Amino acid sequence: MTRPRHHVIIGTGVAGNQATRTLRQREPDARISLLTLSALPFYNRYDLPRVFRGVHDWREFLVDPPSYYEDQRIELRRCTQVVNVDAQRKTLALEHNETLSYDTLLVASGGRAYLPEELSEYRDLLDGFTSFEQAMTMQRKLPAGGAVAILGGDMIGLDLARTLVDTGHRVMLVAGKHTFWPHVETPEQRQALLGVLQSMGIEIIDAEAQGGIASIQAGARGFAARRLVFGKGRECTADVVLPSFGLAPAVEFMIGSGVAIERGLLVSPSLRTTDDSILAAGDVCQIWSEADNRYRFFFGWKNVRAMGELAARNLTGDDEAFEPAQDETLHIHDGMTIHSPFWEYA
Amino acid sequence: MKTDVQIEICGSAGEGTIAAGDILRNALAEAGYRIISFDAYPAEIRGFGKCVARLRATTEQAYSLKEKADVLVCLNDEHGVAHVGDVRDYGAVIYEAKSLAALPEGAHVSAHLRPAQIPYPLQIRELSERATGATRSRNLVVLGYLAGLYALAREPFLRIIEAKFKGKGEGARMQRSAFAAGFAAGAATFKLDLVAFGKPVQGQHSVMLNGNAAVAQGCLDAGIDNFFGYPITPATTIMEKLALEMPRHGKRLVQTEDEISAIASTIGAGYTGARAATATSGPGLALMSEMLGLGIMAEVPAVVFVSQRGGPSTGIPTKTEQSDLNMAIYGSPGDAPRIVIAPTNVEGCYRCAGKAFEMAERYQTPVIVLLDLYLSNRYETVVMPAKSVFEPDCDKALSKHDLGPGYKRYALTPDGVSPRALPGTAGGMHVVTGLEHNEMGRVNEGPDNHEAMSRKRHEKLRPALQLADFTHLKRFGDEGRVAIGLLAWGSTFGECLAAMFRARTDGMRCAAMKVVMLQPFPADAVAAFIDDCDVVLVPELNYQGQFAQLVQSETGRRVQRYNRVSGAPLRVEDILAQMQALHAAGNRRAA
Amino acid sequence: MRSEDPRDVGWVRQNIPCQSACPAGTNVPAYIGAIAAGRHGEAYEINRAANVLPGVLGRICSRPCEDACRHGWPGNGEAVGICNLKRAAADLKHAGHRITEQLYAPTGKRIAIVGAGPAGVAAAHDLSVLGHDVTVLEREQHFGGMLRYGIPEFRLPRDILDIELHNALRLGVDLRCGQGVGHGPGEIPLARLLEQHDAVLLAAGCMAPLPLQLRQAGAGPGAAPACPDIEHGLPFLVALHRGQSKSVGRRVAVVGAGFTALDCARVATRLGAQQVTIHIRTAEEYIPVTKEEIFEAKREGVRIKGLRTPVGVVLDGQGRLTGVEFVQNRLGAWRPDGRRQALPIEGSEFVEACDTLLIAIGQKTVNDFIEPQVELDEWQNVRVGDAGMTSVRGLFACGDFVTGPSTVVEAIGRGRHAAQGLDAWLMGKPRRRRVVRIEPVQQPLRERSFDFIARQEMPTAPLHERLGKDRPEVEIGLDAQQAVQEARRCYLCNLHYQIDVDRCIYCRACIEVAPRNCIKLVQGVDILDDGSYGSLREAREWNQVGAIWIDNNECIRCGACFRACPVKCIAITRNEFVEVDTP
Repeated sequence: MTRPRHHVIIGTGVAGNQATRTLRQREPDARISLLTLSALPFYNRYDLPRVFRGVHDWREFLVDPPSYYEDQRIELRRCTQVVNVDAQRKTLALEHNETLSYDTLLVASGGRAYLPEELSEYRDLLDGFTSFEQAMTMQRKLPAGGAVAILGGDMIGLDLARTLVDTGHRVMLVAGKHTFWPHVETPEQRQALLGVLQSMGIEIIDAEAQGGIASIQAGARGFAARRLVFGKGRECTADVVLPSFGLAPAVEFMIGSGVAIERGLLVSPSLRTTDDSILAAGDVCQIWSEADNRYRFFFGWKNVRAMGELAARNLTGDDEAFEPAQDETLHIHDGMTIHSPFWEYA
Repeated sequence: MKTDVQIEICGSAGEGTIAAGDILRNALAEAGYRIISFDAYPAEIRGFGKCVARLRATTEQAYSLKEKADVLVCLNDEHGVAHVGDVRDYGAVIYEAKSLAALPEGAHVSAHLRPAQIPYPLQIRELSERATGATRSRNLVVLGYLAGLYALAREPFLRIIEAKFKGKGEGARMQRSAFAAGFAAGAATFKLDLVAFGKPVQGQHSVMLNGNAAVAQGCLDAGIDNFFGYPITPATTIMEKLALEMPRHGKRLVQTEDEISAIASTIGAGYTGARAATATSGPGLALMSEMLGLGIMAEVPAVVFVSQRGGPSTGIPTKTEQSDLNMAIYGSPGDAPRIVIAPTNVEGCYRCAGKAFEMAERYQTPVIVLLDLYLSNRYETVVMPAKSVFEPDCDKALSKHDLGPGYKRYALTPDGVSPRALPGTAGGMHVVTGLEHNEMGRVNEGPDNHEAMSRKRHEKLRPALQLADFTHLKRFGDEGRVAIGLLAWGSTFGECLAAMFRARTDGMRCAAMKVVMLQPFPADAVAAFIDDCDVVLVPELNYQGQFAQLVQSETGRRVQRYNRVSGAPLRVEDILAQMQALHAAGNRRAA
Repeated sequence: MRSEDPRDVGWVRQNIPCQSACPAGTNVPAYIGAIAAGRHGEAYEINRAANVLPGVLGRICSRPCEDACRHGWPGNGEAVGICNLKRAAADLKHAGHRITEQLYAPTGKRIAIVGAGPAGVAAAHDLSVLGHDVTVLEREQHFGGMLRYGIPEFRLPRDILDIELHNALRLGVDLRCGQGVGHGPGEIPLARLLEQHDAVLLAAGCMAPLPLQLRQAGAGPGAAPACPDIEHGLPFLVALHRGQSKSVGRRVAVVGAGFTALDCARVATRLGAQQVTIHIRTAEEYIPVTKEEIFEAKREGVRIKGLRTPVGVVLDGQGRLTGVEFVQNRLGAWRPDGRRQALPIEGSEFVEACDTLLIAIGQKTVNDFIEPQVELDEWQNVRVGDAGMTSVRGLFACGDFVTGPSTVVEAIGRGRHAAQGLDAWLMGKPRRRRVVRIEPVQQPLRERSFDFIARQEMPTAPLHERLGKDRPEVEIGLDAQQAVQEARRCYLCNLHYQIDVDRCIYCRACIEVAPRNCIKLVQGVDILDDGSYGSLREAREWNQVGAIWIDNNECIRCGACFRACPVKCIAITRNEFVEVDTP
């Protein structure tokens, strides 16, 4: 084949970015397109709490400067949404009505914040923290010393909670079955962990004991911006309410492609989907695990980066299986701090 | 905080691109920013040509448009793709988020953005349809979006929209609606680019004018009595504006059947003592050359505005050039001296226009004011004087002693200017002819007379170089000896000045001089400037280097030339590159 | 004007995707247009002409029309809430609304219909309109079939069901409930029905549950013993709807991926289960239930877990259920019905704890009561010809009884079709046929702004009320204003916008205002074998242009071109199917 191959990667998260790097190293002449919904080049989501420490210029969050993409001849297509994949013709349909051809496709679109169905009607009253824009919006909304109610409390939300407490804000955690997601802990471990959170300064509200969230309302003028009403009558107020219920994979655009999807894209241990030209990496895929005898997600920055690297190698001739790059246990250190492998970013 | 934002809007002919640029610059001028703006349009009215509206809004004085835009708005993606490269890093590109027709790979604007540019996809067409039921108001939607995104005050925009669509019924309401829809979208957009508008300077009463409008205003403020004109691109709008305004002052304007008639009528009116003018471009000036000779020979005041365009012959009517200098200075049979002045910016157009009438009267001669298409169509904010700064009557005083049977209309006076009796003045009868004549005006072929009259006609103009309230030329930049000097005239000077300031910040010792009065030529001052410079560069928009020739012949000094005839204004970075090359060569010679 | 030209028939079929997708052939644009004008009664009657139970289907239909709706095509936004509008017409028609029936003369023919489910009722209605004497025999104590016994009340209130069923059979149909057909005590043998009637139509449905082989975990390969905590889903619902008291444990596992499984799960939450999980063999993306259903189920706390097939049960010492054993699945190839194969992974068994297991993996027909022998097809269902007749003369069959489990609207469609075929057989020829009616329309009937109206969401009862004692209907219905707004969203695809090529001056004003890529410069249009218009050959340059053509496929009938045309060369007609009597 005289024409250089065209590798297309959907998603500029950790997986997509690592894959891009590795692909360029392994195939200097290939054409690489990197598609993302974001208006900005790659930055690490875990870094976003820094907005509360006075870092407000997005350029300081970028992992690579804009010139990197030009130097490495990576066609970075921002504000680009894929709406369909035709695996037979090997083309992508983009939302703005353009069609793109690929030789290989790596789906690294990650997961988006999951909102339980019973809270869907309150979507407009909730604030996300998954992008720079959302982070800055929250930072601007929160008054000094303001209150944040975190619903659910997955490890991403708790990481933010650490910074919020540290920067003088009040944090309330409405704890439920998503607290500490994606860790799975025993009831005793859970009690201990909640205790540590409390000692960190986070107020804990047990959602189930309070009868679940009955409604979320906008506060009246002059009062706090949000009011949470629980089933058994308790109420509390906050300036910002953050849903923190774990991630749901972003796969809707893959449905027409014919590859196997359960909640995420189902892939073999070498990250291949049921189509030879399509691989997946990161929070979007469920990998077959021989050990667990089922398809499962592997979360965490180190795992996701390893997947990106592996996908790129497997796209360029290798055929290795994924090995988890971090363990999954939650530790309490000295009875005082929580150590989670999902909080390690190096 | 300083403001220096350059916005470019590109679209198809018929999409309202130019109208959008017009509203935007007027609104920003209303808000108090200084504006420089120049649009590019195709020859077709609708269909496939591309329009680009460009404007630069600043709080401090600027002299030209910048090389890179800060914000690009693409109304039509096909045309937008070619302009994405015009935007600087961390600038904004606003474009239609969704194409109606299926696009092949790489055909969308988003495929061409550089990683450091900030994309703002916007559903322009849909917003227009939702707000007004039609797609026609897309240009107002993007204006609203800009205003919302950059937190600009809405009122100036709404006032301009109201004025522009007054009397068009539903039109104004729909445009406001489209603007509001765009504004809401812009205000709701998270701003990621590094473009910002600071607070504008308050308290200055400035108006937005382009060169031609400034000329027209200058004529009005100088009390123009008559205008005779024949339409020709790019001078036509002078006549259009005067046609609107002059009747309100009780004055008269006639569209003649051709340029010859126009100049003839102008000279005829000038003969009666009226302040009269005409406006044309290169091809028209050629037609006028014989009549001009009559005006010069008969010593009649007349003002001719010439806006140069691409030549020769019919040339390129919609592109700019500076190639009529020779014809303006020399065009006419015989030794036919006249005053030629060339403003370098819009405010200069105003002043030169008014001053031209003063000079024409004072020196009893046709005065040619040279503009070009770029200057004629370039908008700038100009601080207008509260009342007229032009003298209403500059005629040489006529005393009783001058009049009578021996009245000498063409008396050989020390300063060369003779007392002029207007037709109908008792005791002021005289003969007027295009043949050589004596002091009484009667035909005379004698050798001494011709020498004396030739001398008179030439020497009477020299004092124009000493006019107190006129800037004949001006030097900018480093004082004393410099490495590189730029010498330029007309609209080119803006870019030269910008290039010179850039070179200075890069550490080069340099200066720039603009020459406004081209005839009579200020040879001494220009020579002195050239002597101060190691090398002088003369950039101009013509192939033959007409100004460089003039400078060399008048001063006896040599200069370097930089000639372009691309139809577009010179680019600052190209002039800068020339300067740097000369500087480097100079350094090598020295080494 | 009436036409039977294949180009006109082809146009209607191709351009009104909702009607083409509807198994009953409902004239959707016509009834939505009536709702937009506030004429709910008229909308109701238009529906009733194709589907005799509009209020019922307006609640529980599977909505194949919405999947086809042009407003839901890529780039056009979301489909119109066609089903919600059908319900709105039924709900909002004024109290004194009178049903219209146009009766044929009595024929003296007698027909027996076995089964008073949707297929049987639809057929009974049409046959009685056609003038025949119809008797319907229904095994259960009440009529309705799946509608009453399979679908829970919170989806379909019984009072609505009763009124509509009653109205369908009001024309003198002799309904005998509690009357089975077969050889059992009290049942009428089929042979006798055949003797006593001119024709018999079997519409007995398909409600016998498919069995599921489950072993007892840890007790060898044989089938697990019967356990009171394990039931089949449909019989569970049938018993509940017969009035029996049913209960479930704290943790309920439902196996199955169809509407019945969803209904079982939601009923279980209302019966007090704390944790209800639906286990499916493939994944959510591939199951035939509507997205709205899944969403509401999840809101009510039901969880869906995929990629597992049940293989066994775990019983405690008292023989009570404590868990279900599953094997993990991979996804396999696509099946022709849009679903996927599930391939079990060896050795991947695991157990999920539960107290109740409801099995709803499908149904099969029961046709052992039929004599004389009829031909069966490969799925052991009765084989029928085009007119719906079996291999036994005078014995017809329709609905789920023939096709296996499908949807209510399909059953209704097939019931009507069978009634037509039966009538044609009895009377010697078809008495009605379908033609295209073409009427000129003077002005566009919509505004462009209508296209930006957001889809009106169906208001639902608040969560805490749903599971309370009254267990009200979950969907509340659109109010009059919402109905008008939603109705305006319909493009009215039965409108045909056409440029008169002879009068067009090629000014392109229409193309400039087009909101889609719907008006094209074409070299020509292909003509298909049947005479209808095929694909457009677009021109790239002016000298290739043969005509400016409105691509009716892309056209959203906004009227912008009509308003922009300076020479008024664009004509609008309404083209729709109507039924007329054959001479």
